[in-house]
Amino acid sequence: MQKKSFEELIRELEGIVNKLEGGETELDKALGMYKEGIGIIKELNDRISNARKQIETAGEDVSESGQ
Amino acid sequence: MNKAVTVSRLNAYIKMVLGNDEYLSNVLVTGEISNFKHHQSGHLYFTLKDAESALSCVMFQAKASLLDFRPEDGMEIVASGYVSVFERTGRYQLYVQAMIPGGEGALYRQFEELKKKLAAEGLFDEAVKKPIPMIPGKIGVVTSETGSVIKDILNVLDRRYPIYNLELYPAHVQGRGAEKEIAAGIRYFNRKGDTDVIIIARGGGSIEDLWPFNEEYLARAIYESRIPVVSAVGHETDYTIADFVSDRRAPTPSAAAELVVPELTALMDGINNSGIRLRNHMRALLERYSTRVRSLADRPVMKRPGEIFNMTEMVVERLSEKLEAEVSMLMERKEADLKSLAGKIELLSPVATLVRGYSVLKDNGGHVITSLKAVGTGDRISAVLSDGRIDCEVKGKETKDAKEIL
Repeated sequence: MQKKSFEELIRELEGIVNKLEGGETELDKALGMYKEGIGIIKELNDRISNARKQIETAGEDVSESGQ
Repeated sequence: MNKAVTVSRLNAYIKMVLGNDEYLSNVLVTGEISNFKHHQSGHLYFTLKDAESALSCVMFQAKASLLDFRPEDGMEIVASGYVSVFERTGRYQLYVQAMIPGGEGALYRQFEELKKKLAAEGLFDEAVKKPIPMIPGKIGVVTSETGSVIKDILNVLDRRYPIYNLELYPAHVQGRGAEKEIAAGIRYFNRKGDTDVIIIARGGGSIEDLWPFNEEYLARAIYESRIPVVSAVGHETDYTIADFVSDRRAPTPSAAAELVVPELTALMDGINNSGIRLRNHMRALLERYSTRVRSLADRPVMKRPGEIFNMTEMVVERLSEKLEAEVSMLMERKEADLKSLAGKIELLSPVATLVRGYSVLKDNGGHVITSLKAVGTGDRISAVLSDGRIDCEVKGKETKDAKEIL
């Protein structure tokens, strides 16, 4: 399965939060959505910190020879 | 003293000396025709002269047949060709390759006519000009192996872009057939295919020197090149047909070198700058995404998910209260029912009957007497009442319906 893009995941998360705020009261559904939301937040944060690391390591060469 | 040589050896030597002279190998001469002879073989023999001097000329049939006018005595012409020695007579002469009628102005007319023709065919159109690559992998240079042109080019490249890759195709850039050699160089690089840009160059010179660059043959080769061609011919003020048809004209060979490579230091600065901008951009992008995720994660539903269920909880609570109430009401009702049933049951018990005035008769064995037949006169029996027992003796009996006695 193709990995979902960052943008797709953010849109999914927005959808979940909006639905929960809109008053999804069916317990099983709400709980499932909440867990999914937490999972997506974790995934997104992982990806951001991973990307941040990559930028900093990839950028080392530039800033060293950039003088 | 030098040793004497034979006439033929001297003539051969003179021929060799003249043949080695670059200027004499392709010279344009203007003058008036005299002594014109059209030989049976098709060769033309004549003398070119001006006010003070004369020059023997020969034009062989192969070239003469290409003439589009009839030369005759007294005609002013411009001839191009090379100077050599006819050894048998020891006479030097001009071996004419081509000629056109008219004085020196005719040469410019010829130039203008070719220019017009090629322009009409679209060879100079901006639309067909190929872009010069900003950073060439390999540079092909067609010029003389000796001389300052290649040195000038290498100097500029060394200073400006020391990581260049250059291949020189050595070619004569003046004299007979030079345009063919230069064209061959262009075709060579096109065939090889590993070259990104071609420079054709020569230094300054007379109009005769530059003439190969005005030849239609070279113009066609430049036009057909798939690789962009930069021309750098003569000085800044010299314009040749090659300059018009090439993809870019450089005023000098050095300028051509400057044109085909970037300044390495500037290039490096640019790359580094782009790297820094790229990184900054990526950082900003990540910051934006990170903010977006954080704002979603901080929304109350995600932060205190318990609240989502408060409503559900309340509903459950109310339902359970209601359930409890219902149950206890139900219990009370059942209790009441039970009580009333118990009362009814009590009414049905024998003791209650006794209270109402009835009594039960029992014989000695304690058996209930339900019929006259069970007792005889003189039997001792007992009557049970609600609050005790009466001992009795049967004095007599009479069969009769109870309804009548009561």
